[in-house]
Amino acid sequence: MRTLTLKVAATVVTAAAAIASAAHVGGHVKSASAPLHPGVVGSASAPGLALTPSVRTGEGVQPVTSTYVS
Amino acid sequence: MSGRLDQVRFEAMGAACHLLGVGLERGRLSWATAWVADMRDRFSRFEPDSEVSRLNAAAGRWVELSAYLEGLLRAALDAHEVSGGLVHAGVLPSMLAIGYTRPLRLGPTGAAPGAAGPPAPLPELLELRPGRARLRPGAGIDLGGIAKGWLADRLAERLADNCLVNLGGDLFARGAGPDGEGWPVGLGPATVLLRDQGAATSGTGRRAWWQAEQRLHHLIDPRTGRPSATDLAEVSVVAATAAGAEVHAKAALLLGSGQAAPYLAANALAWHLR
Repeated sequence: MRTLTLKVAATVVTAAAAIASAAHVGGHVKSASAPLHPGVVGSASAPGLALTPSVRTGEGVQPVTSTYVS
Repeated sequence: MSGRLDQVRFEAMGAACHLLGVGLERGRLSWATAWVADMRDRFSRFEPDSEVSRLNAAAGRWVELSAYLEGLLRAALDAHEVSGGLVHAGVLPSMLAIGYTRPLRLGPTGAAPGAAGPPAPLPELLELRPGRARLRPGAGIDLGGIAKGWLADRLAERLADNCLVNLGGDLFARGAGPDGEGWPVGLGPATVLLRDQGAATSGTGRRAWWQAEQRLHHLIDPRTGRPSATDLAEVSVVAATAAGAEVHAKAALLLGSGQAAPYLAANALAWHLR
């Protein structure tokens, strides 16, 4: 009797944990509008220029070369 | 200034190339120019004896690969994966269908856009093992969409500690640049200072032509097998490598203005959309 009770209790706990996990995951689906990494310094809206903190601009500096369509 | 700035400009792979280095050893730029010419000969699908042409001609059979082609094919598979299938080296049948059968300076040939249809996912077309590869019968690859960025990364590794390799607009800036502040590079309307970073631009304005009152261009959308109908004209991207920048620029261009910015916010360091 005691063994059966333990088995039932274990089953109930496992099922409850599975249901709670599913509910948690379902309620925390990755949002497409969540902040993206890394933070964007410039405007991220198209069209235009957007910079992250990893890239510095050279104000008044002449480029030695450029990226372009080829 | 930590040394003299040397540079060379030349044409290769149908595009203008520009190599720069600070404090280079004598003869390094000549060596690098020859290296690029060697890579062009290996990877051009227009050269019948190139490694890529031999791989395409042997579709259905295993082919021995050089370490360079193996690396580039692996990069093509990676690009396909990270771009969700948008950057697809297996669109050669679509390119041939629109008449891009030879270098465009010789002019396109007859076109039947859409005749090839969307390609299967690249891993289903290309099997890659150490030192060898096999294409599915009827498949063909064009590495023009990823080769320049990948080669810019490889050449910068070899050229010098402080150099910039620009192969047709796909570039990698290695080291602190001529003034120690990073390499100043034009990105759309701005100048950015790059240090151990790559940049690339993808667009539909070049390698485009008119055929039967229809504007065609070389940028194939693998979702349709036809030239992309994107509403963006040009996307420039900065990323950790030139290869990465090239992949993300192309993927963003194909996604169009509605999805390009969020895609790039998750994958790029800087970008310009036009």
